[in-house]
Amino acid sequence: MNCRKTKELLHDFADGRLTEMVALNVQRHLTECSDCRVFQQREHRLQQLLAVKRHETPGTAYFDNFLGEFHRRLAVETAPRPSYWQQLCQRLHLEPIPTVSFGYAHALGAAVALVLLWRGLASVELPAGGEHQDFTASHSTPRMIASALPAKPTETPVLAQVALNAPRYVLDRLAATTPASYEVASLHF
Amino acid sequence: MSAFQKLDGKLKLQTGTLAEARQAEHRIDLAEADDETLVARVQDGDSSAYDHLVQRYKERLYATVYHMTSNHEDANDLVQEAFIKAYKSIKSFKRESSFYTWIYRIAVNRTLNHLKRGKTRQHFSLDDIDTHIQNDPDFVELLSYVTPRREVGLSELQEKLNVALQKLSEPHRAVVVMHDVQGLTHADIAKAIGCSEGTVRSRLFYARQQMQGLLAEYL
Repeated sequence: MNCRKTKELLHDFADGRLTEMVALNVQRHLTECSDCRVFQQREHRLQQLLAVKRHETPGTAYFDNFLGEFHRRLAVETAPRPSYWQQLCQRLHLEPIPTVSFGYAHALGAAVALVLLWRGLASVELPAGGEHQDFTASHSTPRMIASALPAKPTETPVLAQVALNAPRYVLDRLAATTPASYEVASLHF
Repeated sequence: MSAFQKLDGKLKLQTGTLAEARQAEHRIDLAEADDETLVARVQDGDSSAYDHLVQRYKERLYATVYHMTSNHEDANDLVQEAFIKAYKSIKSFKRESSFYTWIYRIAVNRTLNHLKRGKTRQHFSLDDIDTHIQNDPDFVELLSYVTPRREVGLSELQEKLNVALQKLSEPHRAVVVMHDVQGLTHADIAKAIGCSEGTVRSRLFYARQQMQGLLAEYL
């Protein structure tokens, strides 16, 4: 029997779980091999040292609330998960719509708002680019808007002329009055 | 108050007392019931029976998980999770093994996964050593061997031991804890971890060799 095999069997040997023949072989090897004897002693002390772990206890009061904690965690685990809609509302810090009827009410409100907005747009008097249009219910809205726009500009708009004469940069404008030099500029704090 | 109301009140009182008495009897029944009966009742929908299973095994499971993590909070969380997991899947428990073996497997596997993910809290929060250690023959013998060579405190031994255990890989640590600390057989460990007995023996041998090197000054 070699050293490795003996070392592997040492525990079973100590517990008397080996067959007579194998135990005899281990015993014989131990009497002959000093390395394995040292290993056996150290192994024995390691077992004794591990006894310290057996006596580590959290104290009796530690488990007093264990069952209560179990019930609390179980309630959280088994609680129904919020729907995607509710999660979205939570993320947006909105109150989720709790029932279907509330949902319908909101949808109806949104529809009414859209209709009002549509009618409001239709009744706006657009600036006169050509002839005055009489907006009636018989006209379709896209056509009304298209015809209300000016057909083609006949002359350059005033704003475009101002833009052409404007200085290109801020410093261009300053150059007319003060020199744009950081060296000569006096700093006032 | 009419006679009828008085009679009704008395009847309600008696019914209430009877219900309380039945509940108390039920509690005693459950406390004395074996695991199989409790599991069957839980599977039939009596969730109060599960409380008795929790009370019965919480400390043993905690000890195993704590020795693997060396941390109070981790051990507590993992044992709670194991009980919750077992409760949620108890309907599928076929009672081919004992309830303890089953939940032990759940707890050990969860702990191993937890350790593999490296989510352990880095600090040790070691449990106290109970006073019975002074009468433990193993410990007395060790102290008589170590103390003449150098002064050793119990807390020092405890810390060095835990540091050495944490240096082992998770599977090796699990095997050492289950065999050398908890006293499980190779066969039970093999069942709990889901490997062969040969693997358990081999891991145990390797882990002990490593531990001998790490704790050489006390051996």
